Amino acid sequence: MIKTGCRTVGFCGQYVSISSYGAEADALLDLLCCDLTQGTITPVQAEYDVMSVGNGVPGLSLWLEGKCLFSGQCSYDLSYALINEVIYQCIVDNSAGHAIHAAAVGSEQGAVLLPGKSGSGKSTFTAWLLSRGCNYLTDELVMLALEERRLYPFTRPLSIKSGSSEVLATFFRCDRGDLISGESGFMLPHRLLNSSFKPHSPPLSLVLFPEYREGAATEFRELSPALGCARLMECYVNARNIKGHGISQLADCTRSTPIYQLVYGKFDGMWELLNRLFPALFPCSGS
Amino acid sequence: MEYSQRYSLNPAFKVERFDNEILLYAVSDTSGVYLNETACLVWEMCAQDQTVAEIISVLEAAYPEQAAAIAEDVAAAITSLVEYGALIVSCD
Repeated sequence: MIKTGCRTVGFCGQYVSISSYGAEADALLDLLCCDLTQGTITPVQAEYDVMSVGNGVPGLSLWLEGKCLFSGQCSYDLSYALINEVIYQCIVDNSAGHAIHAAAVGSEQGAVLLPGKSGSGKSTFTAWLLSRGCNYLTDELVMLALEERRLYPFTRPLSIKSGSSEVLATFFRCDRGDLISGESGFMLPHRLLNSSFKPHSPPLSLVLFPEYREGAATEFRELSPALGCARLMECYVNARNIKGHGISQLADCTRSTPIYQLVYGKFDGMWELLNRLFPALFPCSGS
Repeated sequence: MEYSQRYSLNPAFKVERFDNEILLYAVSDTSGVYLNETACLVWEMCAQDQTVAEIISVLEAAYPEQAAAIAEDVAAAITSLVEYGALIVSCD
């Protein structure tokens, strides 16, 4: 068993090391981790091994300090397990900001936060925004630094559930070979949707709660700061790390940021609507 | 619902006030409950030790055009706040 690679990656000051064994493991980690913050910080939160050969386990396997967390043939399942591990290690005990389960797009001029529970449609909506020229930040997690009101994104490939394939196909076609695929979903490199990616930590400009409903007409509903704060709390993942849970800070943020619920069932006319409501964030040039 | 009943606020909950709305959240976790304008008034009158009947009476006087629906709205708001654990039945 020969180690073929090792990297230290993380998010908002907390890092893990991931060693790879075999060309397939190297390629997988290149794709999964290429946009995460690379570091040399020690000690790390945890040390993982990803193997595509050896250690008595056929196929792919993921190990945490000698304990096997996953073994199997499916690169998507391994990727999903590894990313969840990295996220956990980067969030646990991290009080650098308010960790929110959300997608986000944006440039240095401003960010759109798209919070939501798994299955709400935020990754598919984010993919569509990228296909229209928006700059990707994340489809999973942001750290919201409330004093500076900036978003620090956990930038990984988009994770799309199999059930969303049909909706995705309405605006994007790709070769399955470009994806990390499995039965339950696939990971889609964001550069396939928009190759002009630039990493940013932009100020928060807008909060949109996307909700996909098959066949529904597009509908935007402005939420009051109180209701927006209540909805944001449902997506808040590290409150126990923050003094007083940080609810007052979160409330201050919702008082000064427009918050909308977006129900959508298709993308026809969506960009025109976004442009009309938020021209600075969704300019006419989106195509 | 017993209209002579009084309710008190559960001290385990914190209050974040907005203009006419309130966000209650449990200190033990981050679950929150949003109170609209009506629920917010009910919450504040419970804090002033008023009975359900007194709360209904005050709101009917303040909003005569909605009087027919107020008793039901107040009962619904109190039931939901009790279920959430934010209001406690007073024992006196």
